[in-house]
Amino acid sequence: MKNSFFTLLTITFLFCFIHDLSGQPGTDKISIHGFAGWGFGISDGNQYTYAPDKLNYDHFVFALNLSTKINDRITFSAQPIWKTHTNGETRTEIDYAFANYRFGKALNVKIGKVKSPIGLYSEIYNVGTLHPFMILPQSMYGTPGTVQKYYNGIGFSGSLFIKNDWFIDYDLIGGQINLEEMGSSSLMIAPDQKVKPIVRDMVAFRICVMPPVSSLRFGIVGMTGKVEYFDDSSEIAKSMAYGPHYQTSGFIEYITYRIWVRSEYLYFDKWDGTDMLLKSGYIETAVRILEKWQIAGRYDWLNADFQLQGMSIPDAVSSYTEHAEWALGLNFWISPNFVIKCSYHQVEGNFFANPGVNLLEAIFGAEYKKITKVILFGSHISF
Amino acid sequence: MKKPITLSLIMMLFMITDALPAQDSFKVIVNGSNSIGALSKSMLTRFFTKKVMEWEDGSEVVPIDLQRDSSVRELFSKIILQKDVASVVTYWTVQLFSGRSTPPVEFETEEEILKYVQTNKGAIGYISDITPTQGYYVNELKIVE
Repeated sequence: MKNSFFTLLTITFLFCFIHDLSGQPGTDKISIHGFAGWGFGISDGNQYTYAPDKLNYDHFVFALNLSTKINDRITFSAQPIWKTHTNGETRTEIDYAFANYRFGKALNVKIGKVKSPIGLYSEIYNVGTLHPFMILPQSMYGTPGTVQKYYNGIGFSGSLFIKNDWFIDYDLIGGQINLEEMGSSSLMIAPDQKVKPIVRDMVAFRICVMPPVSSLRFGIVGMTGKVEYFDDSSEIAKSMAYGPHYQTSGFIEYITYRIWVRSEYLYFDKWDGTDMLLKSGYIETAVRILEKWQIAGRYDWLNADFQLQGMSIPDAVSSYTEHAEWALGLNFWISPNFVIKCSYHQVEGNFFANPGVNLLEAIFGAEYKKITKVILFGSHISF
Repeated sequence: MKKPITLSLIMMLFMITDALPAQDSFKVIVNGSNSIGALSKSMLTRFFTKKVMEWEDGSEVVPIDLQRDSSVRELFSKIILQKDVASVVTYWTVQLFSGRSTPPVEFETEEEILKYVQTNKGAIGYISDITPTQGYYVNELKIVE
């Protein structure tokens, strides 16, 4: 872990010296920003995100957001990150590193390991000062294969002015997505199995409409690809996620200083291997009160329809295909870039809340908790 | 008897309000070589949110801001961008960390704004209406609806 941290620092300093830093004050040739967060959580039994049934203090994230302007049309951006994953492992990674060529307002081309525009939070995945809670809505961001934060490939984007201050932003991307390692999902046949899927031949688009109403935007997303595995996991586990898929989602967002409102809905369909149909969504809001205080609320849900080796999931264990979460949070903003958060989450269903009993064991009668109560506490900073 | 008292009170009210300092206003400035003359509010918004990044001749637009606690910036944000400064900062934080754009450079003083605009062909900034621009190679823009 120590070596990873020093690797991160080394990358940062090397980046600083790639380009001339002796520009005049006030120039924007190179910019260095970053964010960090720390949190702990506890649940009343089931593991949910980084909250197990005993207090877990081991949840960190630190990243540097680096951007340099090569010339009027070319910029290079990179974000090294050091974070603790849900399996407890801490690693240094490159979140993204890509070059952007600006042909004009209507066309930018990005190539490399690029931030994914698929979800409202996918481009600001770990930037906690832009989130009302310590964790993202799991219905969209907790399932490997639905919304990820980067892709390896090429992307085209731009902004088109329509009329009367209506704008459309578009993104068209293609390449490969490496998904988060699946290790804590209660759907895994054996609890110690870890698999790391990828989505090959991925093509996706996003259309985002910005009406004249300030701070409002809405739009649709579509993506298709083929899920495969790099792993020697069991054939059952592999077959559950292998196969082509498509997904479509809609979103709406209204963000001002005082009020944050976000909502997304996702439809995910996969065939071959194991057919899987997911429908999920959330709505969340956060409101500033008394200047430094912010209250937040969220409702988050998911419904999955799939078969296990040709067999339907029995109704008795249908909680493994469901997720419904109510969350309430209270945040204190020490400064505009430093926030302390506390939240309570009540989760029904075991799609994301791992009871320590896998699906097969549950089908054969093992007992498990279907409702999970979680408290999360932590802080985020950005600079 | 009552009328003269009422009239006097009204006159005193006018005198008081006339004596109050006028609310700060702002003016938009560009480099002295930029002969654009006038811009609409909507085009100013597009420049300062970097939705449009080029002048008509294809050269780069370089918007610059005053610091966040400036009353002139607050007025500019509310009238042109139709958001308070804190909401604008939130917008730029999202743009920055999503890798889509970087915010305009911020300067502490209006003198720094004037010096930067006069030495950068594509620059566009704003300063207080009462700040003199004589001696600086800048043009004032007319803002149209």
